[in-house]
Amino acid sequence: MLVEKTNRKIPAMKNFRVLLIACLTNIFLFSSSNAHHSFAMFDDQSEMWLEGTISLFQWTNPHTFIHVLVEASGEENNIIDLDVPIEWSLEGGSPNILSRNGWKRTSLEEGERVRVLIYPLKDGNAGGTFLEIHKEDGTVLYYHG
Amino acid sequence: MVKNHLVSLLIASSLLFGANLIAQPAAQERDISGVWMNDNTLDERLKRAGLKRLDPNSTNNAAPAQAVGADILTEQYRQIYEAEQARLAQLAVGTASCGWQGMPRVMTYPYPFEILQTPGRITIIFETESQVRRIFLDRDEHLPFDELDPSYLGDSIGWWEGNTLIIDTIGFNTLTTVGRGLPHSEEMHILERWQFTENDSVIVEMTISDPLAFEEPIVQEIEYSKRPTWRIREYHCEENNRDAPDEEGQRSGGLAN
Repeated sequence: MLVEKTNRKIPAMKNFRVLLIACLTNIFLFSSSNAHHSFAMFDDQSEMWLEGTISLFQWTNPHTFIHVLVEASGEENNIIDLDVPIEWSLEGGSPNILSRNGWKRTSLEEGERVRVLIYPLKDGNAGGTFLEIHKEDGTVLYYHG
Repeated sequence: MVKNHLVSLLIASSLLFGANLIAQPAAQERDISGVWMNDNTLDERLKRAGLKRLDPNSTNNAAPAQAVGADILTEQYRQIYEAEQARLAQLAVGTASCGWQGMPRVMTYPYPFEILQTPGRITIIFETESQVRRIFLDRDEHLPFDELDPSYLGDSIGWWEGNTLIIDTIGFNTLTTVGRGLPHSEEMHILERWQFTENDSVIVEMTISDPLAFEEPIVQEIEYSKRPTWRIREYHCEENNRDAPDEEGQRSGGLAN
């Protein structure tokens, strides 16, 4: 059973869509492919927020993975508490790409609470690719999805 | 022996005439050592534009529907291309195996490379899978056929023409594609013209010909710039490839449980 979330532990970011509206110019003439494989399995028309606790951070090639024990999820203005937490697997860029965008191997720790903006898997399983990781101290880490 | 005598003669004559003939590098050879990066990867383009990600609804993002150059494949290689596309279509979207990209694809993979210059040699160390290209400036012929083992990166000889480094490469295996699934034969021949500019950037004009696979050469241009503050990291795909296809063609380790 799903219930409305009323006591969010991390403040919501209201303005993340501004970033999307700011896109885009004519420079993107070529394939936006990721290095290792197609990201077509992720639904870039369905942005989704997850709230929970990091259970695993794999700083590995060809892709990083962040597992989050999700307690609440949904669209930006409709985040809903879950009865039972679900562990999500979120795939992102290589350490090589992320490190050149400010990430470090120590950027995330197991047990820390985060809010994550993702594109979910199209097949409905508990997976996706992460776009923004909002930490409790206000830090935001980005990946281009 | 003859070579030693020649060196002795050159040393003697340099002493005699007071000129340093031996240590003088070729006048046109410029310093290109350092870390270089493809300027037009997705990540580089986004950073340059100050964007965090692409707008998924922009029509400018679409990838070409088929391999660049698929329309110039010979009949035999079109069949090879289509058979491989059919095989890949059996796998779940997002699955991917690991392997060396080889030439020319290693040149467009979205990671930097480091150039080392030593006498008679240019060495290019790629971040991608630690692949290494050795460009022999001290050799004006390719290896003879019986020495030319088919390889991922081929046999490269090079020379300078002013500010342009020319690299000629043959001797490929057929375990790689030209890019986007386009196959090639062992007869593939790649001619690169590395045109260096004053502001530490280079445009590489690459002409890829293959008498068995292509009806006409493919020409592509790739732009790189020097990144003095970057270091080459490690990238080995098999470290943790959770996207490898399993026996049923699904992502083997994509989910948490």
